Formats: sequence, structure tokens, C-alpha cells
Amino acid sequence: MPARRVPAATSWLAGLAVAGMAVVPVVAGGYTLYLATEAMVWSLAAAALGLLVGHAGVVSLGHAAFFGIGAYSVGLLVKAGVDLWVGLGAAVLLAAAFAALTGPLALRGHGVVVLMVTLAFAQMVYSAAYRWKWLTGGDDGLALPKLGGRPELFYAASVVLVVACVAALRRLVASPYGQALEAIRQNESKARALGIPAFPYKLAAYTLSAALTGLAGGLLAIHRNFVSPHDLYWVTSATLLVMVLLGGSRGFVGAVVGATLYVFLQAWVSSRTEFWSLFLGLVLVLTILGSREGLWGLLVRRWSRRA
Amino acid sequence: MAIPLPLVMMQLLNSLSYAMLLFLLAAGLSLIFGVARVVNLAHGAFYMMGAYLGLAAQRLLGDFWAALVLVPPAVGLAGVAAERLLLRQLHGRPLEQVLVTVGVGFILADLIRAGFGAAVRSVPPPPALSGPVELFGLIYPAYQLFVLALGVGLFVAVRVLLMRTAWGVRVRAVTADPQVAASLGIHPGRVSAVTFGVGTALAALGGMVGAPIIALAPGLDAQMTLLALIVVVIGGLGQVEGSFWSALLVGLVDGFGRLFFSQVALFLIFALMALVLALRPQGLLGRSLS
Repeated sequence: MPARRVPAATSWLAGLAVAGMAVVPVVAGGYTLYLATEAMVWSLAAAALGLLVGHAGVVSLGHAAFFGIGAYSVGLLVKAGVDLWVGLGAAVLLAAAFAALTGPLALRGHGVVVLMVTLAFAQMVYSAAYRWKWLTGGDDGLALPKLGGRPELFYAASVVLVVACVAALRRLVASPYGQALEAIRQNESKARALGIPAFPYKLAAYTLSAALTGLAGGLLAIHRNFVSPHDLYWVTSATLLVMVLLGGSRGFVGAVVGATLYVFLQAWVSSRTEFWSLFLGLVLVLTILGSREGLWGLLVRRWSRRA
Repeated sequence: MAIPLPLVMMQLLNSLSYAMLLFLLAAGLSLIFGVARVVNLAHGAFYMMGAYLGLAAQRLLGDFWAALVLVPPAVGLAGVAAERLLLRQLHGRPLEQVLVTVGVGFILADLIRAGFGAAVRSVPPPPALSGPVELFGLIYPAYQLFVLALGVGLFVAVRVLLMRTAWGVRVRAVTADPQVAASLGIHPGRVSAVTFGVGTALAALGGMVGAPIIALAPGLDAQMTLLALIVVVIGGLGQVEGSFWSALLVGLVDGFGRLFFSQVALFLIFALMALVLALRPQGLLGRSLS
């Protein structure tokens, strides 16, 4: 874990980043603020996925389901006239419930099998949302009334939330439970032989990750005033994985960096060329070939060598 | 609800030819997974590459058959290049390999869009196969029958290749156990490069043959990757024979699902996959992989 090796550099950088993150977009306002909020929402989901990928060794390609369930929960409940907070609560609970239901099947296998089963469940949710036009609006999505108050306030709240969640997740992986997860990630049969109940531990991590991703989905609905079935499509799951890997799968600051970088790069590149995917593909291939720990890991390593 | 027999027979043929396309796609993915232990999420992009390059080659050469012979090997070479230049470097790191193939897929899909535009294209079947054929008193489109025959022919060919040739023996050995295979003097790297070539060439062949059946549009790559994954998972990872039966199953469920329950056809396939995985996590014909 980079954080363990170079605590000073990491916390210094993180402090600087948080300060910059909190102040710059509010001053800049407008589109920058919009993108920064978008980045925070994705960061939350990426950090949640990072818990699974980096610390439990479970690679999910189905997090779009939780993201979308969160978004549709808020969207549908708000449209039905329910309080926004209740909607967010439902987003968290429903995403967690879906994870608790599908997790036992998904976590039966290992590695690639997990990847494909999570993918299959997510696509089931996608096709349901796509087909049930009477409920979800199908391809047209759900247009929502303006929610979330002033954009500056909503942004500030999302920064606080992301920082709090990252801090909590870091404590979690350092806790005995987190250490047990790490042992499972490194060698599941050995961990089991040591008396660690691997399956319930992994299921708990899966459900927690889903709950946070559902919350992020709910926030995305509030932020965009819109829910689209595309948020449930498997490309959204792949995007989240890319964010996690771009930043470095271990530690949660990397996921935030990856998500932020992704959102701003996408906006910047898309405004210049329509070939965003080409660009993203090249960045992805070069990042993976160039470094084991993602861009954030590379940065931290450079930094600590110099310090 | 009574559905007339000709319609059912027609849908049966449609489902079977669709199943054969799925098989071409899934056989390549399965071979690659078995030998290189790589889930190639760029597989659908190679399918799409075959479809669009096939279109260009037909226009250039003016002949479907010449294009059919030339395009798949060319795409196969691209697959070999991807294996040599990218995946080889990441040996033993499956997550990174998966994500590199995602990146390759993004790159290929956008390059295709740059070259051919984003418009939906429906491709007519080649003139020799565009007419109808009468069989047992019912009339079928000739092209669907051609695809069906091609799929079955390739299944037999791949089986013979795997069972009877030196390359096939090596592929089976590496699929079963790379370490033991290496200790027997089989070079896993070389086998894996060739297999990547064969697998992506099969995907490209599927794309070229499939173009008159499934219209070409951006996003097709992701859709085809997904279908190939489902077929492979149901059939058992690394099992070409499993892919064949599973492709038939998925093709039939999809075809008749559309006919009888058009609202939930897509859902049915995923439910089928979830069911198979719940009962037999290793797939229908698969052995459990460590």
C-alpha cells in the first residue's frame, strides 16, 4: 500500500488536493463546478469499487447496476413526491439489497467468473430498466425537477462526503476486518485455513461497496436532474473499473484521482475531438503497461523518491 | 395464441443461423481464454473490424468470396500483434490484461468509426445467396442456410484441428495445464500467439458473415463481446465444444424468446446464464478451473 510506505508525502499531497478540490471549482463556478461535482460523484463510486478490487480481490464488472439502482431510486421516488432524503436512503438500501441477493451467486466463483456473473446481473437490471417503459421511461430516461439546492452547496456537500468516505474506507482496510480481507485477497484458501470465514467477509465488502455506489448513483440523479438507462449499461461498469485502475487500485485516494482525471479529461478531449474512446483507450493501455500502481501510485513513488 | 407453422420454422432457421454466428464469435473467445487465460474484451471489436473491413474489401475487390478469404486472416494478424505487443507483457496479471483488452476495444471501435462513420449500415447478402430456397415445401432465405452450414462446417473443422493436428495437441495441453505443457517442451507463448490469431480471425469471419444478419452500427462491438462472454460462460470456459452447444441454446432461447415473449427476450438470456452459473459454475461442459 503506497500510503503505508510514504505516509508523509501521501497525506501532504492529499491535503493539498482536498484544499484545491474544495476551493477552485467554487471560485471558477459554471461548467467547472458542474464537472467537479460530477467528478466527486464518480469518485465516491470508484472508491467503493476500489474497496472490492484493490482490497478484497473481487473484480466486479457489474457496478453499473448499483449505480443505476441508486439513480432510479432517487429519480422515481422524487417523481412520486417522496422526500429527497428518503430517496437517498432508498438508493443505499436497494443497492445493498440487490448486492446481498446476487452476491451469494456472484461470489461463488473466482476471478474471471466473478467478473462475468456480476456483468450478467447488471445487464439484467439494464434490460429491465430499458424495457419497462411505463416505470422508467425506457430509452428516454427520467427527467427530474431541479433538486439539490444551490450548486455550490451541493458541491461542498459532495466533497465532504467523499473525504469522509475515503477516510472511513481507509480506516476499514486498516481494521482487523480489513486485514482479514487482505489475507483473503492474497490467498483465499490459506485465509480459510487460518479460520477466516472468507465468503461472509467478501459478501459484506460487496454489499458495502454496493451501498456506497448506490448512494453515488442517487447523487448523480440529483446532480444531473436526469436518470438515463445508460448509467446501468455495462460500459458504466467498465468506466468505473478504468477510473480505479487509472488512479491505482490500492488505497482510495487513487480512485478519487482516477475518477476526477477521467471526468475532466473526458470533457476536455470531447470538446476538441469526437474520438474520446480512442484517446481513453490509448491512455488506458499506456497506463497499464507503464505502471503497476496506476498514475497516482506513479506520482507518489516519484514524490517519495525526491523527498 | 396460435403461431403458424411457417413462422415457427422461419424463426427456427433464424435462431439457428444466429446461433452459428454466436458460435464463431464464442469459439475464438473460448480458445483464447483456454490457452492464454485472457478474457479478451476486445473480441467484439475484432468482430466489428471483420464486418467493416469485409465491407471495404468487397467494394474494392467486387467479390464477396475473395473478401471472405482475405479479411479474417488479416484481422487475425492484428490479433497476433495485440498478443505479442500488449498482453505478453502482462503475463500472470489477469486484471491488467482484461483492462488492456478494454483499451484495445475502445481504440479499435473509434478507429472504425473514424474510417467508416457512425451511420447504421445494413449490408445486403452476396448476390449468389440473396435469393430464397425451397425446402420441404417451405421457403427460406438462402443466406441463413449458408451461415448455418458454415457454422457447422467450422465446428467440425475446429474439432478436427484440435483433435488431429500437432497445433491442436499443443492447444489442448496448454489449456489443461500450462506448466506441465511447458515442461513437455511446448512453448506456451508461441501457442498462445497462434491461438490469438485463430481466435480473432474467427471473430472477424463471424463479423463478415454476420453483417447481412446484424446491421452494423457503433456500439455493436460491446454488444457482441457481451454475447460471446455469455455463450462462453454457459458452455464452459476454454471449451470449444461447450461453446457450440451453448451458442445453439442461446440462439434458440433468444429467437423464440423474441417470438413468444418479445418484452423479456434479452432478460431471458441473462437469466439463463445466471441459472447455469448457479447450478454449474464451471459451465455446461466445463471443468472447474483453478
